[in-house]
Amino acid sequence: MRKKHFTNLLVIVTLITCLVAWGTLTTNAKPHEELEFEPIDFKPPVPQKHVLSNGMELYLLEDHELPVFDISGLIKTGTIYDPVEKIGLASIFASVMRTGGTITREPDALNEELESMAASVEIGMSPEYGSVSLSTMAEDIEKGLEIFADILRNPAFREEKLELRKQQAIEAIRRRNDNPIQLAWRNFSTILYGKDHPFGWYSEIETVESITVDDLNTFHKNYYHPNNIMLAITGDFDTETLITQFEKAFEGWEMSDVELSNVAEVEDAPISSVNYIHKELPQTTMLIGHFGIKRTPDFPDFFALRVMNEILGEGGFTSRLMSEVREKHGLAYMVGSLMSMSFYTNPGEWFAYTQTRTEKTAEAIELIIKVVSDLRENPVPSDELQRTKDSLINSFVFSFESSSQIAFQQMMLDFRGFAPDYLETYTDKIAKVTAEDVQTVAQKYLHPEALTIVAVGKQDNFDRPLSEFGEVNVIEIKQPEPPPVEAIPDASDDDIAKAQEILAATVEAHGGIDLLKAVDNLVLEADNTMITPAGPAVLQIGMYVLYPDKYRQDVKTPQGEFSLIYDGETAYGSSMREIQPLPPEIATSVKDALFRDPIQLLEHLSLSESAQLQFAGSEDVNGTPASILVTEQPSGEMLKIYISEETNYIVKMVYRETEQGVTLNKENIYSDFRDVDGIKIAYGFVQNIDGNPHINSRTNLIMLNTDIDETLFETSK
Amino acid sequence: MKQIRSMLILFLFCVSGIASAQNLADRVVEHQFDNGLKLLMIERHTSPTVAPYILFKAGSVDESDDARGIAHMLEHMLFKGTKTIGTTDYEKEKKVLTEIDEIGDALDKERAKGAKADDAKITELEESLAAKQEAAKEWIVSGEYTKIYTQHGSTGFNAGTSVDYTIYTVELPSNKLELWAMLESDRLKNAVLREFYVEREAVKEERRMAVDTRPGGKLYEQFIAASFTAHPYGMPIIGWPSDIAMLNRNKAEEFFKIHYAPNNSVMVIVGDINIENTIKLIDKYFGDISSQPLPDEVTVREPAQEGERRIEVEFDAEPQMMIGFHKPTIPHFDDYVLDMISAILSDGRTSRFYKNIVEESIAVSVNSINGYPGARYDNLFVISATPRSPNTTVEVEEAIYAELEKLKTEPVEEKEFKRILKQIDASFIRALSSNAGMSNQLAFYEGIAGDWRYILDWRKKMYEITPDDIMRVAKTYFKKSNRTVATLVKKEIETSEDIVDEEESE
Repeated sequence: MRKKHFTNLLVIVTLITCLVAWGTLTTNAKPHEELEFEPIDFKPPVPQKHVLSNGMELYLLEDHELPVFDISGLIKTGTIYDPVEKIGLASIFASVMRTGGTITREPDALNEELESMAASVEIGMSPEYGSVSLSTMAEDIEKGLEIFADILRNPAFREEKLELRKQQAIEAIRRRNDNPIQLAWRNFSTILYGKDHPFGWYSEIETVESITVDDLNTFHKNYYHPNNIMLAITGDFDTETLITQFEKAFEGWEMSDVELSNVAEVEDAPISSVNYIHKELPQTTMLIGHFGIKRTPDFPDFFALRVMNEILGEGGFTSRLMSEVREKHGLAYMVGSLMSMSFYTNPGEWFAYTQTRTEKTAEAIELIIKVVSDLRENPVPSDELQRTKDSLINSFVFSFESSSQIAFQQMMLDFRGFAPDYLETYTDKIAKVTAEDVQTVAQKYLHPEALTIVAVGKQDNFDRPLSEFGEVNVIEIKQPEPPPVEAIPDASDDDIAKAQEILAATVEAHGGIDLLKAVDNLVLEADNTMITPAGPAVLQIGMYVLYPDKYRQDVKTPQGEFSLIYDGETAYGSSMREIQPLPPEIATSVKDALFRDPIQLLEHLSLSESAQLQFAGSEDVNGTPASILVTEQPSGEMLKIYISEETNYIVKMVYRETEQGVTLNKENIYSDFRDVDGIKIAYGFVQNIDGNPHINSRTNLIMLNTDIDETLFETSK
Repeated sequence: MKQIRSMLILFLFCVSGIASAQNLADRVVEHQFDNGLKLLMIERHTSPTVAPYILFKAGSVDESDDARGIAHMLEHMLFKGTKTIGTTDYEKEKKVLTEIDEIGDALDKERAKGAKADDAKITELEESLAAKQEAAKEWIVSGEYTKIYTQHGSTGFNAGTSVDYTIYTVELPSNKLELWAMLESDRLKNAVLREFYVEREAVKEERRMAVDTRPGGKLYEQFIAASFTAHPYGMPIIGWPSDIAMLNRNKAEEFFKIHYAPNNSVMVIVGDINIENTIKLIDKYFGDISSQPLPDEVTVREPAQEGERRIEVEFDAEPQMMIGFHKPTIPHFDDYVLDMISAILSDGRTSRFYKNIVEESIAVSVNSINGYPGARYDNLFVISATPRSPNTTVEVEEAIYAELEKLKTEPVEEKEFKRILKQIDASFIRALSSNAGMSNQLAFYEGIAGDWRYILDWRKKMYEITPDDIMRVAKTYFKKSNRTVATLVKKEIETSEDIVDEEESE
């Protein structure tokens, strides 16, 4: 082992005698109390900081014990910056950044290249930062660095890898209720922060579905700049040579301004709430807690809280929760507490957790609350305080076990803006914590009177009802299901040729391709009778289409007037007072509806090279035989078009659509074809959903190519 | 939620992850004491810390039928202290402990009668047990053993029980090694298994948590039980609920006496130590423990499987599956070949399962592991998979078999071998970067393979494997008649009856 850079700054000294308090517990001194320990005088190596000419910050620590090389770094971004309609973007971005390859490296080739030199590059995403790592053998440093830089600078986000990752993310959403701990945790943070906050929301099938390659490219452009990256670097290298290699690998990658948006800060007002989720299991999983602590570098109570949390439930087998709930009462195997003190934009959470047999649920909750309250009400006995402080001080050396740990730790402290003497003064500050300090912070930061409780289990067998702890909110868990896309059957060449024949006849029957092409816009007025659970309701509809992709529908109802506006990208809902964006699934529906518009559909199928169309048999529609043509809608769902063999008009369409997570089979039947400027358009329209009548529409007026007011499609007001 | 003592060790340590052969061979120092205790050491002065581990070749496979779960239960009980630790006066405490045993025994026997049990008698026994437990508290210092370690700055203080062995682990500042030697030798010489019935409740909760509320845990337990009809490898390490309900202090002490002998254990110390002083220190504290005759190995052999076994497990969760093939254990040459096959199938993004099943979006994960559930006796090659909807376990199973068929018929390319061997060599080197990781591996191979040099031999053997070996081994073991397939299927919630809690007599 070669010599390391040592500094005098940080010296870790372990306590020599620390068992004074034990004498009071025992009648005779125990053998281990007589042991004497040599003091440890350890000066951990200090990483060298170096800023590259492009602003990238390096924390370098040579370690020549083994011929390996490791980088572990961070990028200032995070999942908390996800747009609300695209929750899941940052973490999907991170996966695809790695799996999608680079502009010059195909994904398979990249994997092969890395694994054949036993190297790895990984990209990750946490709430408040992104992570990146490289590990390779020392002999491959140069090659490893080149690949690492290529991935950071030139990720390719290949479409098929995004699609794969989205499918995996959706599968994870489908499975997120399988494990009771995960189920309890997800609901706990949502209850605290609400569904509109990044600390409380979770991605849903629709938010994942909406993520595009453009989104990933934009994300990369927003955050991945050298001056926004910090790297901890350790292993068998020479610092000077390595810096030169770094400058070369990242040459030409320029600094750029990075903007991190503000994350809403929750109001830290503890509220009581008792929540129950039913799951047929013999054990109740519970989380009991409230907000945690927002950790800024100058947060004053950290050290007292560190000691308090250790005593309460973070100190493993010696914590009070472990000792009471498990060792003394045998109520659980796993029990403890956790106060989040690592976030800086929001306070995270504090909670106690356990899993206990169903018929002891209330007893366990009561015991946990008692342990928490006791810490507020009574000072910690001096032997327990001493033991806890000794434990924290003596185990501090494990923060310096490996060079990679040391370099990474220093980088994180700088990232968070901690004072340079943070580590150096750590053990002294722990040593100074008094029983009074512990009690003070317990009173300040623990609120047993205002707890959020989440219990997952089977309440019929609880020892006492949960309502003892407050009014119970029952959370219903629905299984999220993606709409299964109906596969289009395999087509023979004959089916494809026949479809083209029928299409040509249909186009002619509806007015010919030239007339269809000439249509720029459409205005329609109709009376729709809708079958609702409360009986039929008549709505007056005004519809405006500006081809190819703008759409507006005004609906007059007894309750008032509403509009749906689609600007080609996003769907908006508007009433008299306000206009607001609608979930992506609505936009998908409108996009499909525009695709089905007969004028646009016939034009697209005739002229677009990418259009797929095949013949799929015949069926009677209202007693008349009709040919069935099959194509794919923008959503990927299949569309069946029925063309009357008598008139060659489009008389029916069949497709599936998802509304609020439910997949519906829809059937549109067209009748009463009339001539509008030479084009045949249906004035009669009936929609059935899952075989039941839903809409019966009478068209009063259709106009083509009028002077349509384009402000109708504006949503800025 | 990571601080969990005594995780059940269900996985065989992945062999790939061993220090560079030459480097390692040079650095391991061995010492054999007169009483049969084997000590392995590596000096590493990167930080003033040390990872001392002790492994006993005593796992659930060594239990008798009337004490299933006792290896794991004993592991929990060995944290309860000794004649001096965990008590203020053992001589006085002793009498109450015996009384607790007697009442507990009577209570267990009465409860075991099930419907024929005398409820009044049970209530009476429960009350007197509670009273005696309360009385014992006069002397018991709960958790003292653990508190001493914690106060001295321990980390990773834990233990684990597998089918094959039980291991006790900790890391300490290196100046505390003598404390460790004193406390560990004290628990071998003077262990007192106090607070038994309270801990037994915690173990029942552990079972509910790890098996009964976890889809993967439940599937695994049923899968392994279906795979083995005769060999104890088929039994759960933690025991069935009715096994746990009948465990007591006598059974634990008996198991302890038979199996926790110096000549049935391996001690490994990696870290900031001086070799000579360490040998002296261990001799001082452990040298006076006598060796003893070792228990017999398990003699029952799993009969050849004569046809595919398929089981379903119903659970309120999305589907997943496990497939297992019987095969010989170390040091049979085919076991090495199956390690190579496992790497080909599921190590990394270039592996076949990843490329052909995960990247094709048929499954979200497919993994293989060679050597479930243990390595002392013939075991299984296991594949586990989680389908991606709308694909079901049917499609995933087909895709897996297609990969296994390819192994039988198409020779593995040189490029694939080379990549895997390079990774093996790299992991050999990287393993040395952690005291705890090294202690774990040396203890495992010395204890279970009989010699830590198996690690070196393993690497050599991996280099000898040929494409023909792969095809031959794939044909020999990946046969329909040799496999067990377990599938987790979603329970219909509406029609489900209540899950009966088998332990509701408590």
